[in-house]
Amino acid sequence: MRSVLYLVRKPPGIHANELIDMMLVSGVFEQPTQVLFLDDGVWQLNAGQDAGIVGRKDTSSALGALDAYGIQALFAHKPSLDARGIARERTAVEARLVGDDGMRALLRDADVVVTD
Amino acid sequence: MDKRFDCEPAMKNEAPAGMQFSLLVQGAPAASDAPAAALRFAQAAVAAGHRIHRAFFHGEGASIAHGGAAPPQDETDVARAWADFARRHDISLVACVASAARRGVATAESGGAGDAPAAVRDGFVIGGLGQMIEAMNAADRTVTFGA
Repeated sequence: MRSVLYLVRKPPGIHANELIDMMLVSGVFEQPTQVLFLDDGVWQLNAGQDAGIVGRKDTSSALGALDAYGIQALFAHKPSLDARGIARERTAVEARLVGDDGMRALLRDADVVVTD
Repeated sequence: MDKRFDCEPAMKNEAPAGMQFSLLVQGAPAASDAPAAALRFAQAAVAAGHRIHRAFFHGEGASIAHGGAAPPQDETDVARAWADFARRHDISLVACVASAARRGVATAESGGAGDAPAAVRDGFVIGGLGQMIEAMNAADRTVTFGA
């Protein structure tokens, strides 16, 4: 089974939720799966989302389902969080912080990289 | 150049001849270059002696399978070009059932492998995300064409 790294670079929304669906299927197939939030993708981790106001499904609650599907390896690119002023305490989903070197290692080690 | 894109030369990952590729296409023909870029990649790969196992159309990409789409006659019909190329080279073209249902390309019930309801364009089938996972495992390399 090939390992996959989901490289999430877009903010919350329908697009994000569709990629999360794919992550969940990776979990069902017991594919070794890691997720890295980068650039505007880190907004998906931001706590206090209320997508219901605009009639959408919450992306952070969809991310919360990953754990139940066996996907625990979530990473957030710290420079991306810093650039947007999102403090770690403000993240709704537990993700390990990585810098540029950590990101490079994730990209290098994955068999497949899926972007959004 | 942005420091975080400073990585090892791409040549290191150049594929030896006779490899299998799977493609993930996330962009729609009417809104993105992704389906056309993926097709040109597939054509180049086949010309270089590689094989394309499957192209999987996900998210907005699933709209390529809409049978009712009629691009202007003076523009390339990317969906037809994909279907013709896939037929000649035995490539499986699958549109994600959930993405397709969301966009009116297929009904949510049309999830069976190989199932192609009337609205789905000739040459494409509607399938589940499991077929993308299978495609990753069957191929030596998987290439994503983002929206």
